[in-house]
Amino acid sequence: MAKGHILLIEDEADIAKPVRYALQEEGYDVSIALSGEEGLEKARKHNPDLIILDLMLPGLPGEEVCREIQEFEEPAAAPIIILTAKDTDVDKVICKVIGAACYLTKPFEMEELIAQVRAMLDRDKTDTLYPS
Amino acid sequence: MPHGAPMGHILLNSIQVWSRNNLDVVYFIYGIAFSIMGFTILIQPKKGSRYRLGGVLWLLAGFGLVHGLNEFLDMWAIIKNDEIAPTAVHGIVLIISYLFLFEFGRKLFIISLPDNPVTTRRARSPWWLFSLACAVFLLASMASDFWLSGRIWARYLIGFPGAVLTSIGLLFFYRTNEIEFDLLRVKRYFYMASACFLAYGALGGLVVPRGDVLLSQIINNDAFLSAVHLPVQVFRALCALGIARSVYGIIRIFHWENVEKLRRTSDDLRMEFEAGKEKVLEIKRLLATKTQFISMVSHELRTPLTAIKANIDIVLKGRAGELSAGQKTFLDVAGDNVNRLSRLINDVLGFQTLTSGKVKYEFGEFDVNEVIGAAGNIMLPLARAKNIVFQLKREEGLPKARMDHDKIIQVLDNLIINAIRHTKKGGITVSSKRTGAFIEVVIEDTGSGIRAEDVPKLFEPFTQIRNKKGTGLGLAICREIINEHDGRIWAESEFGKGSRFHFVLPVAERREHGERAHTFN
Repeated sequence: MAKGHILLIEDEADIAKPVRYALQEEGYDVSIALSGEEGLEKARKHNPDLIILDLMLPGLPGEEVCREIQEFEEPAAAPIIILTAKDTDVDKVICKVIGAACYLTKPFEMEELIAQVRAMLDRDKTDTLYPS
Repeated sequence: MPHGAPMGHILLNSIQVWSRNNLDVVYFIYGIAFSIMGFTILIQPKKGSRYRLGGVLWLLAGFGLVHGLNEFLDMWAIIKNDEIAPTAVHGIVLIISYLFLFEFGRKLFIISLPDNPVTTRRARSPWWLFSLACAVFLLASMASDFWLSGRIWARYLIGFPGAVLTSIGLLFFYRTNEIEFDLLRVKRYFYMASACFLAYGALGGLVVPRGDVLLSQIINNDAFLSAVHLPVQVFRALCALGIARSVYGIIRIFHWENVEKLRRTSDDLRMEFEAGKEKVLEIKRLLATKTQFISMVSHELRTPLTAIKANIDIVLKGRAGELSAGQKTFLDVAGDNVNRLSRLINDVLGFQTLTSGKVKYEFGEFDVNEVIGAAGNIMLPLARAKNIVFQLKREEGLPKARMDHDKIIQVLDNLIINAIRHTKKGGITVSSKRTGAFIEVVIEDTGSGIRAEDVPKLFEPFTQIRNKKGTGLGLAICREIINEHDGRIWAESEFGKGSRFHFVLPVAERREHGERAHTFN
C-alpha cells in the first residue's frame, strides 16, 4: 500500500525523475506535473497528500500556483514543500506568506527532501484512518 | 542782418576770450583726458589676449599718465604764476612722456608688419630711444636756454615722430585683424584715434614755444594764437579728448575677448557637465544590468546543478543498486564538486549583493567575546576532527562593539574555517583585546603560512592563494563587511610557520561630555 500520494510540480525532467525515483523507493506514489496549470489541474483532480512545488516554472509562476492551491476549499489543501533557487531573507518570508509548509533551496540534499516528506506525511498518517 | 553770422562771431569771440583767460582749465582738461586714458588702459585686463596689442598698450598708458602729469605741471605754473617743479623736472617729464609715445608707435609697427627679418630687425632695435634722447640733449645744449630748447627738440624729434608713428601704426594694426575689428565695430575708433594722433602730432610736435631753435621762430605758440585766435592748447586738449575716447573704444576689444572666452568656457563646462551626467546615467544602467545579469545567471546555473546533484545523490545512496568501492569514490568526487560549484554560485551572488550596496546592515551593540564564543562552538568539532588545538583567549571586560551580529559571525566563520583548513598540526587561537578606540580580534594558526608577496593580494576577490578549491571570495567578502563597519582587516604571515589574521571593530560609542572619537592610525 502506498504511503501517500505526492504531486511533484517540476518542469525540469532531469530533476523530476530522480526525485520521483527516490520517493517511489520510499514507498510513495508520485505523479508529475510539468507546469503550473497542469499542476493545479492535477491537484484538483487527484487530491494529493503532499505537493512538492518548484517556484521556477514556465507560464504561471510558482508563487501563484501556491496561492491558488491554498484557496482550495474542497478538498482541504495539501501541505506544500517549495523548491526554490532563491534564498534571501525576502524570499524566505515570501514562502511563509504564500503558505508553504517549508522550503528547500536548490541544489537540495535528496536526503533532506525525503526527511521532510516523511515528517509531513507520516505525521498526517496518524490523523487519517484510511489513505486517500 | 542775418542771425547766424553775428551769433557765430559772438560765440567764437567769447570762446577766444575765455580760453585765453582760463588756460589753466584747458590744461586741466588736457591733463585729465590723458590721465584717464592711461588709467583705463591699465585697468583693462588684457592677460592671455591673442591680440599682440595687449602687450604694448602699457606704453601708451605710460604716455598718457606722464604727459598728463606734464599738463598738470603746466596748469600749476599758470595758476601760481610760477613753476611748481624745477624746470629740469618739468622738462624731463615731457621728454619721458614723448619717449613712451615714440616707443608705442614703434612697437605698433613691429606687431603689425609681417615678420620680415631684414626690416623689422632695424625697427626692433632698442637703440632708437637712446639715440633720440641723446640727440635732444645734444641739440639742447647747443642753445642758450637748455631746458626750453630741450623741450622744443623733444617735441620735434620725439613727440612729432612718435605721434605720426602711432597714427600710422594704428591703421596698420587695424588691418591685421580687419574682419574681426569690423565685426566688433571698433573700426571707427581706430580711425578716430589715428586722426587725433596725427592732429596731435602736428599741434603738439610742430607748434612749439618760441625759442632759440630756428623753426620755432616761425611756427610757434604765439604765431598760432595770432593766426587762429585760439591758443594751440585748446586744440591739443580737443585732440586729447578725442584720443582718450577712441582709445577707450579700442580697448573694448579685450573686453569682448574676455566675454567670448567666458562664454566659450561656460559652454564647454556645460557640455562637460551634460556629458558627465550622461556617463553617470550610463554607469548606473550598466550596474543595474550587471546585477541583473549575475542574479539571472546564478539562478539559471542552479537548475542544472540541482539536476546533477539529485541524480548523483540517488546513486551514491545506493538507491539505484549496490555501489562498488571504486564507483563510490569517483561519484563522491563528482558530488564534492557539485557542492563546490554550489558554494561558488552562492559566494558570487553573495559578493555581488554585498557590493551592490543593496544589503542592509543592522548595527547593534554586541559583546565581541560572545560572538567569538558562538563561532567557536560551531568550529570546535571541526578542529577536533583534524586533531588540532582550538582555543580562545578573550580579554575580560571588553566594552561592546558596534556591529551587525550575523555578518561578524560570518567573518569569524570564514577566518576560522580558513585557519582549520590550512593547519595540519598545532593549533588555532582566537583572541580579543582592546586597541585604542577599537576591539581587535586575532585568528592565529600554526599552518602553512603565506608568502610575503601574496599577502597584499589576500583580500582581493577571486584570488586563491592557499585554498585552490575555494571560491577566492571568502576574504573579499570579509573585507567588504569589515569596511562597512568602519573597521580594518589585515593579515600577517610567515611562510611555513603560520599566519595571523586581524580585524578591528569600533567600540560602541557612548560619548561623554567633551569626549571626542579617536581615529585609528
